[in-house]
Amino acid sequence: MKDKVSNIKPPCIVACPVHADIQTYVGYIGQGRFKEALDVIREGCTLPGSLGRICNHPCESECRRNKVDEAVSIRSIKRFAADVCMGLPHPDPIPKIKGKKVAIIGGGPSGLTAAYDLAKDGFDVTIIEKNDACGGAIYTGVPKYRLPKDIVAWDVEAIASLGVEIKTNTEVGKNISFNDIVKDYDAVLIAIGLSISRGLPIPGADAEGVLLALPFLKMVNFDESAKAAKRVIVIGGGNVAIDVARSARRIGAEDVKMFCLESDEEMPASPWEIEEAKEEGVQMFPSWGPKEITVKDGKVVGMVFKRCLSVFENGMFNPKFDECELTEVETDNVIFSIGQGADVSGFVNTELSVDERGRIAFNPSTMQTNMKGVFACGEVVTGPGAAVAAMKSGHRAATAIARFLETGKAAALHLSEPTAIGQVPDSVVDIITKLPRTPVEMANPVERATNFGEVEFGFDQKTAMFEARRCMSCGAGARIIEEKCAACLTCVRVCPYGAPYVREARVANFALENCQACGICAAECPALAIDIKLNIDTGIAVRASRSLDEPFITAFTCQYSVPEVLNPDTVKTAPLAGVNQVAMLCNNRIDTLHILAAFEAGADGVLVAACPDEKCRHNKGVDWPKIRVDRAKDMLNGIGLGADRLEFAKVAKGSAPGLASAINTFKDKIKELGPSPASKQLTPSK
Amino acid sequence: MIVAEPKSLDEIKAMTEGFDRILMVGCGTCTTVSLTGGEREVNLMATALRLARKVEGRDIEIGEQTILRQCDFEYIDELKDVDSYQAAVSFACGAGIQGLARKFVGKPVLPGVNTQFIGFNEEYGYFTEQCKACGDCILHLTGGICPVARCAKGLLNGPCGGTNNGKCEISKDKDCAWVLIYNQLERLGNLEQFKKIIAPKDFAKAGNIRSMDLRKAGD
Ligand SMILES: Cc1cc2nc3c(=O)[nH]c(=O)nc-3n(C[C@H](O)[C@H](O)[C@H](O)COP(=O)(O)OP(=O)(O)OC[C@H]3O[C@@H](n4cnc5c(N)ncnc54)[C@H](O)[C@@H]3O)c2cc1C
Ligand code: SF4
Repeated sequence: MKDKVSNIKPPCIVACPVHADIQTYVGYIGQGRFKEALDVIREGCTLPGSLGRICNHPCESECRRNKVDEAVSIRSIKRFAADVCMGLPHPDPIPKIKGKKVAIIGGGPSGLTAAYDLAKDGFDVTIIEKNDACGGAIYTGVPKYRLPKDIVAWDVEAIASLGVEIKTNTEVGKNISFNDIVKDYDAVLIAIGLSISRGLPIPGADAEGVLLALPFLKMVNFDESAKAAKRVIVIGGGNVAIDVARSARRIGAEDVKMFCLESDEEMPASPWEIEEAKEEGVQMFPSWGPKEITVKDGKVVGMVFKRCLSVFENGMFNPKFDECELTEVETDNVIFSIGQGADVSGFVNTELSVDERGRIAFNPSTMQTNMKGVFACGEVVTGPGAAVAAMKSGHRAATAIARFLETGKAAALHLSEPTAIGQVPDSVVDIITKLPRTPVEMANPVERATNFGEVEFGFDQKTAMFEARRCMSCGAGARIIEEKCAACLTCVRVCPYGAPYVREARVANFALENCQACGICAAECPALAIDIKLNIDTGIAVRASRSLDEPFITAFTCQYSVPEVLNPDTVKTAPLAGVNQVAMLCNNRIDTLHILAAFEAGADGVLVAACPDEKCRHNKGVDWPKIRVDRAKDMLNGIGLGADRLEFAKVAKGSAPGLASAINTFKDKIKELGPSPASKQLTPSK
Repeated sequence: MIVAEPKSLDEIKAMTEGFDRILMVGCGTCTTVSLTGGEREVNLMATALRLARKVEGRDIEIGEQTILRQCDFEYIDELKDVDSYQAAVSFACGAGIQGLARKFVGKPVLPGVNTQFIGFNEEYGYFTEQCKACGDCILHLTGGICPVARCAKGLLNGPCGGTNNGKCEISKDKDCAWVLIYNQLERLGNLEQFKKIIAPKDFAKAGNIRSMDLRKAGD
């Protein structure tokens, strides 16, 4: 809930409504630091297990890899982070140091997110939820084949474990009065979402066999014995309608037809949802409007549609029909899935105002309703959207409430939005190494349409790490330290991507759009005036009390050459035994200085493991690591340590066995050479 | 810019043999640009020397500071704690090394680089000599190419018999300056100039103990 500082960010982060720090967590996954990745995810996306499965991932549409090959599979990487950490204990409770109580009415994504932020800030938070569990529409609405209930429960438990009290089966207006809540708490947040399904007042709409989306989905989710008729018509073209159609298939409907006003291209459902529904045998009938339901003996027997010519006029919903072009379809069920509305019945006869659309009236800049200290967030104020958008609203509300409780006043929030780095220039696209996107495995369509097992299988560790390593670390590369820059233009001459350029005939400047964070320039700059923002781990360990009997080896690798053996306690891949592994973003960053510094820190031997030329993403004909190793070897001879103590190995990216064997062979060699004569006295003189 | 080449670690080891507290001073101008005397090289040499001494069995202390230029007192004055060191190694050109020596009174100031020439940065890490600082410039007569610096013999009227398909007899990697001059004069439409004999230069202007006093200009 920190105010976002105005700055330039990778487009994925900018596109994500909660501005999750995608670059950092994707990087952590690539390096085998899974728990750390999850911690980063949660700060923005408070329900990682769930959203790792169902998020509409606007981040991926903006990924700069789209222009090079295909977007990084960010959502599936997030899912992996959650799944791999599911065995870990939940976070510890946060002390309620603020001494203020906040009630949150509604435990959907927006309310839960606000609860997370406020609890982390030290407030005493209670969620009041009418259902038997939290999760909101992703618990009651989203079908199990996309999001199993135990995943939602795991996400909710993690928030509860921070010390958030959750009162389930408590409906405001029924089991507890709104006015009492307002009296008992220092601030109240209304996050009740949109829980009423809309129907249409057409002839026959009250017949038996006509259903509404949300009750239908709730039944499918919680009633094991739910059965559908043989033929089902779903009215609507959004994601909810698709959920209804695919669920109907799973409870026995053989003939499922979706009718919607929109044309094929205009259908609001996500393209991948439409595709998956079609694979499961759902038939789509776009550009048809409902005219009437045919009823026999009080029961649905069919439905008449009229051709829809257009849906929008000047951006406003204003459908035009051809009343002469009609079609009649036989069916046993009609399920309306055309939108949701707010249920504010629990707040009648209170001071709270409702707007003309039946949603809670509020001031979007302060998040406050017409009542002092009563705030609102989520879909009940924003209208329908994606869960991550509801989370954004929850973060905003938490910030507003925290300020209100600290100052006694609701103030306008000025949360500055980051701006995105521009596209990769065409000239750079051509030289960036192409790495195809890792496909996510899906269950067989014929089989999956018969049950509620998850349709999408997550990545395993290897694929998740591989996919994460496709990230281009946008904007995490070179930064000039202007005070130190000697305007020598070395960076301009060595960069393979044309990132540094001469500005106003003076110093070098860096085009963020071009830079690939390879680090070549930083290791060549004679004035040490270039920083690589994302240096993974340049800390060179000092040999403190390590015995002189065991060789002390420092291995410089690229961040991707980390071993893959998982330590289940830390959910981190274990380091190689007896070796200080220093992971650079790319070994083109390795500097002769790093090598000498490792010897000064007490290393008996130093191994530089670079990817083979054809595997290195950034090697464009110059083997920079080798040039630097050669210089260091020369110096080691002069120093009296001898060049033998430095080894240059080419190890395939991500090949743990390759790296381990290179290290072991080298260790044996160093064992024979004996301890470094420079490590006998260990008083670092700097 | 003035181009300098690094001294070998062996030489620096020998020069600094007797000292336990040494200041290494980088120069942020010419030698940084020629990649041999900036903060990076100072850091590298300092680390190498410390390690070398450790191998010999002793710990020494090396201070590392880089200033914008060592040919100006004002910048040299920015150096900190100079008194605590026994000796200084300068990574500037000869002018800078001597500038430092004038401030580092009573203590040895040692050269960390070999100053080479006034040069041009052809490409990354490759510098070529362009000017001998002769004090009597004739570039207007030679198509902007200096025969004093770029002809192996420094001929003012060339080429000599050693010219070989545009290269110099001393190496097939070196261009014959006089062929370059001919080609450029041709491009300038001024081959007439090529036929003129250039009179001997006043080499007194390139003599020793040179100085320049601009203060006289206003008299
Ligand atoms: C079928 C369906 C599928 C969806 N699929 C996706 C998807 O794939 N991806 C995606 O990003 N988004 C999806 N969404 C949207 C997403 O679920 C919503 O954006 C999100 O749940 C909205 O969060 P919210 O907190 O505003 O409201 P809700 O999730 O609706 O939560 C409101 C909570 O308030 C409780 N409540 C209401 N009234 C009271 C009361 N009087 N007293 C106490 N508690 C009360 C409700 O029980 C509920 O738990 C889907 C929505 C639906 C309906
Ligand atoms: S980090 Fe690499 S890509 Fe970025 S400016 Fe430096 S050399 Fe160029």
